[in-house]
Amino acid sequence: MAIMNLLFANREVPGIENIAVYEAHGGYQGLRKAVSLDRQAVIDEVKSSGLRGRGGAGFPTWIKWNGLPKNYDKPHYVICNADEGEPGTYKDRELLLKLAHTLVEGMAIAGYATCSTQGYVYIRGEYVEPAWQLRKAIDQAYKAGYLGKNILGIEGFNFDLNIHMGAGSYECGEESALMSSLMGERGNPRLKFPHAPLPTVEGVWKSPTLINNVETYCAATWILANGAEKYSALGTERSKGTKIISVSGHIRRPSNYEVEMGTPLLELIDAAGGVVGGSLKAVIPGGSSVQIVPAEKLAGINLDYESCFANGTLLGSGGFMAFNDRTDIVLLMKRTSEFYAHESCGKCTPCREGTRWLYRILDRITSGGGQEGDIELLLSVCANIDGRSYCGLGDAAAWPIVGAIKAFREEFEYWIKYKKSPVGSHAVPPSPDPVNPLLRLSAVNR
Amino acid sequence: MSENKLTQTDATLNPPTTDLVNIKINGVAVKVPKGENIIESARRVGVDIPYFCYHPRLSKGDAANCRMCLIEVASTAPDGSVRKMPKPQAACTMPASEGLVVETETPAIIKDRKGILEFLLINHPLDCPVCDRGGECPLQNNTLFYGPPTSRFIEEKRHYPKSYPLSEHVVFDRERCIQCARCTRFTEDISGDSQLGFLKRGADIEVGSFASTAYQSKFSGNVIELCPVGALLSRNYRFKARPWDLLTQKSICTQCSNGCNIKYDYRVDKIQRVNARLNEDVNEEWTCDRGKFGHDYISADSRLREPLVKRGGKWHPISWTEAYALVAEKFKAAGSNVAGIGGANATNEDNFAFQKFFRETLKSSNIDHRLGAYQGPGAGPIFSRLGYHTTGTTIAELESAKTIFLLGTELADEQPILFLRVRKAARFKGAAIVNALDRAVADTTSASDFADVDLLYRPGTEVALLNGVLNVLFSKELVAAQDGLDFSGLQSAVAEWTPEKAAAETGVSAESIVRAAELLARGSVAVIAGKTVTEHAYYTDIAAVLANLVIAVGSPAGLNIPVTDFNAQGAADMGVLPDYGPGYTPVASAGLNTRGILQAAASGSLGALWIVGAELLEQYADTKLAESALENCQFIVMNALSLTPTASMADLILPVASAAEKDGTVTSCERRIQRIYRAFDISGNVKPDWLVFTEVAELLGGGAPYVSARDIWRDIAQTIPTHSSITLKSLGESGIRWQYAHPAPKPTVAAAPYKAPAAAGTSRA
Amino acid sequence: MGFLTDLTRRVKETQQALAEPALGTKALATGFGITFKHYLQQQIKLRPTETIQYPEERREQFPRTRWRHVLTRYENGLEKCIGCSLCAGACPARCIYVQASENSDDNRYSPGERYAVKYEINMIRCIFCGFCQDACPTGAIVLRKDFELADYHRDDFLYTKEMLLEPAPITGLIPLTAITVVEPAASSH
Repeated sequence: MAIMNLLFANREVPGIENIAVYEAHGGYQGLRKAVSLDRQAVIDEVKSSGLRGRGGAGFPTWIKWNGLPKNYDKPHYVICNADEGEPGTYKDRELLLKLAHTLVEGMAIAGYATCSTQGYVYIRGEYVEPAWQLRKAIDQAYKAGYLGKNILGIEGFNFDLNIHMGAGSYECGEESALMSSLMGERGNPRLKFPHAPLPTVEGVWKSPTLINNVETYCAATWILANGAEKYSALGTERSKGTKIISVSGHIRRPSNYEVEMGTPLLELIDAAGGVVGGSLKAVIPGGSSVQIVPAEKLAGINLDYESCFANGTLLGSGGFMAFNDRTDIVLLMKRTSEFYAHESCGKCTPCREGTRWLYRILDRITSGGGQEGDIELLLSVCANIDGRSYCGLGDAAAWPIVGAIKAFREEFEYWIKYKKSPVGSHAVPPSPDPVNPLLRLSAVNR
Repeated sequence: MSENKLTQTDATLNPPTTDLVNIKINGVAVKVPKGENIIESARRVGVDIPYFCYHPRLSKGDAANCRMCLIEVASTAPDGSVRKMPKPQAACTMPASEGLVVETETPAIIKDRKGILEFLLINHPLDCPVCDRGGECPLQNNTLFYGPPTSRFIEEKRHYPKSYPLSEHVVFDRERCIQCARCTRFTEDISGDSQLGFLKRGADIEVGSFASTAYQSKFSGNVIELCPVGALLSRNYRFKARPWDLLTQKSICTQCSNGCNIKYDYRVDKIQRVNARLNEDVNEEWTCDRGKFGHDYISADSRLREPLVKRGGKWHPISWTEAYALVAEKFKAAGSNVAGIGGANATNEDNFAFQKFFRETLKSSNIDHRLGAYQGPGAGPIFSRLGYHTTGTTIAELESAKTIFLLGTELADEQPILFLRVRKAARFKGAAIVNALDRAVADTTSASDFADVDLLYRPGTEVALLNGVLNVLFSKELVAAQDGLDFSGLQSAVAEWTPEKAAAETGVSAESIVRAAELLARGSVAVIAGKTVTEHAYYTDIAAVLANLVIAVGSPAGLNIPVTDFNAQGAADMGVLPDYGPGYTPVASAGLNTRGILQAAASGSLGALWIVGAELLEQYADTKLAESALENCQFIVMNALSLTPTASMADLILPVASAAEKDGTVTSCERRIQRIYRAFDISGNVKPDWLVFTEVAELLGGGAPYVSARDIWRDIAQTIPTHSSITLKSLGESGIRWQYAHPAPKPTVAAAPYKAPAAAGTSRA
Repeated sequence: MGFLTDLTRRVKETQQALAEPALGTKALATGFGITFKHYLQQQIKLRPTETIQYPEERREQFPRTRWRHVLTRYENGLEKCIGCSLCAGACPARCIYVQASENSDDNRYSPGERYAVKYEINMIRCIFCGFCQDACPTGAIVLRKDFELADYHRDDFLYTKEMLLEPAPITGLIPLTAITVVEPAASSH
């Protein structure tokens, strides 16, 4: 069976968002366990679990936790990246709505392990309800003594948790842009290693900073509560534990599915009830930023970091999208490129100019203006963006288009030659409004 | 209002580290300081890396956004194996580290540069023929060297209205902007007004001010020079010339006494624009708006081109011969009952010839260049205590001060480039700023934005405030014992000025006074006192207490009361003072100071008055006295550039050369002697001041027959011991700061009396 | 000096030759004979006439002849010159002076933001190389076939913008070449 609920073990429990129910189902045991250990032992526990960052990059979590100085000389900050903006991903939303206490507990554990006194949860601006749930959870945790001063009676273990709402920028999900935004600056990415110190040395307000995804903190809670051995027993050799996959698209039961790392991709489709409206054409396994995989190449792919990478795609943040055979891949890419052109922060040249150019080429092709050489032009523009941009957003804008041209080149050629869709009536809707909504908004404001 | 210093991104201007690392650039091994960025390291081996957004004086936090300087980087492991980084890296922020291997000219990098330039140009209007930057544009140059020959972009370009007026001085062409963030970083890092930022995002991103308000800054002109394309342009220079039409001459800004190095770009005989010239010791590469846009007077149509004489209330042009004859006649008739005012805006040579003409030819010492309220002894109030006349610290030394105490000055207006150094010290070098200001003048200054403590005192209570600070220094034992210096007298004199009493007297909170004293006790203090102090009736007392303060905190060379007029320092050095000759040698019998001269003129007893460019009606504190002096004086000759209100009250006006039309030297407020150069002549009938004095002296039968400014400099060097080793050649590009021949005097402390202001708000002179 | 001695020698020789009557007559007859032969040949059209009756007659010019400069206009009458000064930059004789200014909607000379308020060519210095024409981004300055540039005063060789500018069309429909009246354009300044 593909589904393995660890973090989601209690998600169907009624009232789990309340602290009493949560505690009754083993809540805050992870934190109690953590404070009974030495700080280094907590980090070692995370290390031996093999947990890797669940935000998309898969960086070993314990290295970040271990990177902060183990003293209270300077303020340290623990930040949770809940700016879930990747199209196709909605796991954090459910975690916050139902299991906000798991996050609070996980961040308190991280606060304990890294000698931090302040925590911030950066929630994307559209997540109003999840933010309310988290607010309630934090208030309850303060009352119950899981946050605040001298937590669980441990002298000197102080940890405050704050919520910071984003203002609707995809770019702020990038960790350095998130830190800029959190500090009140424009949500632009900042210099990264080796150009600047790591966040664990110099993050927000020039202080050591730990920044992890919601799912990572929740997994840390589970690991502390249930033991690293149990966690590392799951998954593959290098990708341990479970991963929450947000399944969407032409699928019978779209939802969040927690699967063991290494589960065959096709099993997940079966578990979600199979494809609707036609036969399976392609899958995007990790959110809109990763390369699309045609149906015939899915057989060998397992849901873990290494297998996805070996097959020319990425597990990413787990935004799993399935498309049936009535999907027009060119229109899908046009919509995707429009998203990136809109969300580029505009800081660096390749991303600012390149993403808009990609969109305009695809827009021209899909409105009947395709020319010979446009595919090569797209590939060349993608190559000029990929790896040249300031942060990963540029890469993320280029990869899907390169992937789509590799897998479905004939559909692009069809559009250019016949000026119409190769699938006839298409399933992916065109963008709702060609006018950039941000532009329209500012025009009204002026 | 204090900035959160923790949030600021670090500057690349870190002090050079002595730690050297071995790196390899294009196969050439080189040792460079650890952490230096690769663009700078590459320059050491003659490798050019193209860039747009990088600037060595701006913080690197927002750099690396143009991506033009991409390079391939590999690191060498201890075992000697070389590991290449998968992505190209931005050279402008890549720190040099041991074993770094850099390649800048690989096929991949050449292709990347083409790609980046293609991206930059897809939305650039390419209207180079009508762009003021065309011909000196980094985007043009880099495209020529590294860019693709054609573009593959066939869509419509981005369009905005052209020439959006950003401020009084700057227009903004949004179409041309390449979003390099140099201007936004300048306003945040250097000028500190944070007026420009980015609006919107993605390809719609644009530079703008908050809510489209005007870009208000005292340093806005610098962004024009910083902009690597023609997006930010001077309103003044707009469409006036192309770079190849212009000739350039080096000069010194005449707008204040900082001595900023500038370049005049001129066409035939008209100045088209003023740009900054690099001088690390003075202005680095910045100008203030007053300096950048304030030289229009040189090429104004109102410039006089021939001598004018007033006959029957009307001006008549006459020849120089007639004018000289008239002057000679009048001055001969008046004998030694003559006087001269001015020189603060003329060169050292002009001033030397001026005083020589009066002292040797006319046998009169009635000359003075000072127009301010202080008319006391020419050496000033601090010379006898500290051994220097005005400034003890150089502009560049402000950077190394631990605490800077600003007293009664809006520095950004009075000494703008000094202000930039103070801000640099505060922002990048960790200096603490104590900002004391007269609350009747202003409740905030530009320095308040980054000052650690603001002291808003009641008018006239400067001495009480400083005594309060001294009291804290003594009572908290923050004064280190100094060799052979007895502080007990001073300590008991200020004993009554407890913080509470000082607070009650000055209106500053006692905590602020204590805080200020603690900061001043950090050592290495620089004090800058401004116009509120020098124009004060109690200036001498305040200066005495300031001297006590700098001696008590152990920085006796830290007091600065800079002069404000262009070459007022040079005029004093050259001896345009009633009681001191060149080099501050006392004269046998002192003449009249400016006030005395004007009083004599007003009473009608003065035979003849020579005004050298001094705008008495506008600049002299007592306008009524100036007016009656100008009306009642028997004969007034004035050296003037144009028919100003003061000039129009003279009897004879001699048209003289401006700073762009003569050679010479000037001395800035930090005693730095720098050269100015003749760029052009506006007319054959306009003469430099020194030539006028030389020719009149010859008519009157005396004086040295100088034929050039160089001649006079030779004479100056022979006359003034402190200038004796300085030749025009040795001044070089950055000038020389003349040094006192005598050793610094042994500091002495002397309590100054406190005179309470008669009534609040009325004590200012 | 060589020239003078040579001349003296020749005069002496001629004098000697003419002193001999027979020799002198022969020489005269030979010389005038050639003149007479050419006269007859021309009279009976055996040989073409090289001399033309300028200024009544004019020689045809080669198609790429480069003479007097003209600042051209667009068909709607706007000046093509944008005052970019590239011609001045390209000029090897440094004989072009351009001063630009900004167009406004009420006072429009050229299509964009910028126009030439002053455009002067010093025709004495000009070497008619045509680099200005090559450099012009809008094709405003062209060298045409008017070669009669002689004048009486040096000052008159400083050609101003008014002299160089093509006359404004009366309406946009009349081809510019049809207009022959040359007078200072009323529209500028």
